[in-house]
Amino acid sequence: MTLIPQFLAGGGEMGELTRQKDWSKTPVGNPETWPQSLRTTLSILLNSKFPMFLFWGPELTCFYNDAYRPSLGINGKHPSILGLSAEEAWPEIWSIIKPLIDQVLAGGEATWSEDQLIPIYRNGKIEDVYWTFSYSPINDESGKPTGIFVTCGETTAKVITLKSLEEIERRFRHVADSAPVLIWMSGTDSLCNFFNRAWLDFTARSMEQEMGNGWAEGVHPDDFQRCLDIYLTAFEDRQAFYMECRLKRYDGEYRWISDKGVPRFTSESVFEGYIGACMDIHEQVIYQKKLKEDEERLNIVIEASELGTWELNLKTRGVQYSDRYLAILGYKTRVELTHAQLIKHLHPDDLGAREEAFKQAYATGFLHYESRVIWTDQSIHWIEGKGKVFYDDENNPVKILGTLRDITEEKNYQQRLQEREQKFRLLADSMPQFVWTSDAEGNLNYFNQAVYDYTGLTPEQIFTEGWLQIVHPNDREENVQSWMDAIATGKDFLFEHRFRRRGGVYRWQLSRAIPQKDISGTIQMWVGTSTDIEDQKMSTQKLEKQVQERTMLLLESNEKLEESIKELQKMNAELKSFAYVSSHDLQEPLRKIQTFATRIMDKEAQNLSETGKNYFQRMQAAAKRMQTLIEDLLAYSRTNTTERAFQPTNLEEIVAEVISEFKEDLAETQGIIEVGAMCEANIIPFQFRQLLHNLIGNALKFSKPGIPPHVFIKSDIVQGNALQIPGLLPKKMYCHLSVSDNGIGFEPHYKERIFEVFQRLHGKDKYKGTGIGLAIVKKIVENHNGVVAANSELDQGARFDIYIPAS
Amino acid sequence: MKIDSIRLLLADDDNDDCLFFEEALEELPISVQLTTVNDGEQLMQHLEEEADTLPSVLFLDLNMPRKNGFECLVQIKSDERLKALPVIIYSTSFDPETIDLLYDHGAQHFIRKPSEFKQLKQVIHNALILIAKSITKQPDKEKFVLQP
Repeated sequence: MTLIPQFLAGGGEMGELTRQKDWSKTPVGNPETWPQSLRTTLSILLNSKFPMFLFWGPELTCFYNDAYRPSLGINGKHPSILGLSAEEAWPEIWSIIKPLIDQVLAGGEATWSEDQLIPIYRNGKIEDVYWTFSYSPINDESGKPTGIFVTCGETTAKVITLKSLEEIERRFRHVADSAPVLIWMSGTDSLCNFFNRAWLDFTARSMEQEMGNGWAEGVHPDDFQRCLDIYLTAFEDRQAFYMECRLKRYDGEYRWISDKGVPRFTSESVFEGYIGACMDIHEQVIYQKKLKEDEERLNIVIEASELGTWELNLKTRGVQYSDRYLAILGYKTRVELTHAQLIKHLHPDDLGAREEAFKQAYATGFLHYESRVIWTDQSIHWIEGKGKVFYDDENNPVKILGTLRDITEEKNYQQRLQEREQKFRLLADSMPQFVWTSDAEGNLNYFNQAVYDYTGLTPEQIFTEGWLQIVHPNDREENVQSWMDAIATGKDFLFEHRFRRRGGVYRWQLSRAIPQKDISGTIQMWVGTSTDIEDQKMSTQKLEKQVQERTMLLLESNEKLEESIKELQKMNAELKSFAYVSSHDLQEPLRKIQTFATRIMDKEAQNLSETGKNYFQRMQAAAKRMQTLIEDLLAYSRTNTTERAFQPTNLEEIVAEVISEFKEDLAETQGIIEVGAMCEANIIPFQFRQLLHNLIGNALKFSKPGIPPHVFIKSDIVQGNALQIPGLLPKKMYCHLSVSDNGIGFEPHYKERIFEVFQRLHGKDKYKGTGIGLAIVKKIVENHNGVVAANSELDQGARFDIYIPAS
Repeated sequence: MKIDSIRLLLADDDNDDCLFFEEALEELPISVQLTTVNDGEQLMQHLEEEADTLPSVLFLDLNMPRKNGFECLVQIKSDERLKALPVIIYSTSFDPETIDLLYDHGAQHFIRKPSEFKQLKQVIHNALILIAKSITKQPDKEKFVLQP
């Protein structure tokens, strides 16, 4: 019996197999021949719980233990490879392990291979087996590596798990990269360690840039802090989170993105970090914002419009309403009311109409009604409800959205308007004048009772056949034209026409209409009256006829007047030439008489007796007188017939000229003419000279015998009303010229007579003169539109005052 | 000019006035030659003939038959050969308008036929003195009318 060597003790099953094997057939031979190193190694190997394998000897005979055995699987190498050479045992992997064995045997260090894939035949097939093993050399007694000691373990499960994990990860990344959403992942340190393709494309950054906290650079500064807080807070509690923030896109634009992050756990609920998905929600956010704005705007409008809004759910009969709505129904503060409670406020009389309106609404989709509501304080108010009906897919009405408006004011206004119209009608009917109204387009729609009484027509007749039938045919066309003009322009209508009275007589009327405008200035209607003016018209016509006749008469008299003027002018011209001719022709023989008389006196003086001489002298004197008379008459007539050319003249000049004509007389009589301040006046110089000549001449002529004549001439400007002289205009300024003397004067009661032609106060022997002088003076003053007056007392001298207009 | 060599031309239709004029000249202490014509036509004809030897002065009456004094004056003063002849208007009528008109048409002086012989002599004498001075320019308006 072979002894069981001690070093083969134990070792479980393999120990048993090792002990039982017939090693004599193998390269190693019987165990008794085994070297110590082999035995020791085997001893260790068989008793280790750690998987071990041994290649011994040049043939690399295989030994292994129980711990190693499972790796061989079923239906495989166990137990057949015990005692086989390595090459025999491991043909499928010989190419892999041989180099390693050789290396170790060559004196190299032990090898270490981790998770190495070395597929072996087991379980009936080649299986992918992963090993972590080490080949270490076993030296024999001589110190030469003789065997390879293998400590190994199968790590297939681990590797497969790892591999499948990797696969999962890979598959995940693939999915993540194909996803349209932006995906990120973070680890347990809260730092990000993954961003999918979509994220990287979105941000146009590389994974390296985004990793860790690199992604934060893309977040909008305003949102960063908030986002970070949300993330970290959730992270701490390992909670899911949702946030919206702005992320910079590849084009630099910040886009709103949603970020939903959830914590990741392993199958063993170990926290691994976070994974998040983000979507570009920019459009939605903007849209939301816009919606919000629109809503705000709408609310503002609704507020401003003072419309109450309500929403009625037709199925549940639930009502939603705004505060304004409640205010319209009389509630100052917010209360919650049911539909039924709200309905209670409606005025009973209006319920019917409202029902109808709702029925209509379901049919047409639009609601509109007016009704009264009774507030809790019993006051009545008018409301106007409007709404839109919404239908479901089967066209059933499901809800109504509407508004409510307080129209109490309007209703009251309308009411008052109606009352006023009533009053108006009442008033109009009691008036005798015709009163009528029309709409804004000019269609007459009302006539007061007086119209019907006058025309004898009924309302039907007037309205069906038209009001124009009342108007005289000749007036109709213009009437319509004028009326249409008024309607078009809005200007007051004013027209005279004839109305037909019952019986057929036409009477003149004055029609007037004015437009009635509302607050905005738009014409609402016209109110017109027609007043009977038949009598006035008649008298007007009469008057017109009279005026015509008078005008004719006037024209005729004017013609006659013109004729008379022409006649007078003709006569004047004749007179002028007559005066000229007669004076010239009259003077002619006179002069001869005088001249011859003087010739005789000169030449035949010695042949004449005293008586003869006397007779001649008297004859001369008479001739002289006749000459003077002719001259004076001529002067008098000239004052009428000559041209009247007024010139503004300084009277001083003229006075000086005239005075110089009396030089000799003054010298003879030692007379003095004193001239005071002279003013300027508008005069006919030639005539005025004559005037002054006559006055001064008189003053010198009618002097007191033996006393040198003293004449005083002065002038000043006075206003007419300062003097009490008839014929002077009170407001006019006059130049007052006065010529006074210290002569014999005259009795006051002659002061008018002396201005008459041929009137003398003394015999011609006493004082020369024709009696025309003062007549000429008066005529000239009249030519100047002035007045002359004489003042005197006998022996007190005389004063002549002349007033002529200053300008 | 020597006053004695004055040659006078008188145009007047009135025989009496011509007589007075001649007698006045005779009684004046100067001797002058006097030629008389009796109407306007005669006057112009005479002047035509005597155009080369114009008289020293023409005393022109206004009222003449056929052509009157005024017409003659106008004609004379518009005739180049005749306009140098001093014309003294010698007339009965005395109205300012006529005088102005005569002055405007170039008459040298105006004499109103006086009714006294003495005055007639005086005024003719004055006129002749002026003529003798050979003053050809028309005098000022104030000196236009010669007074006896």
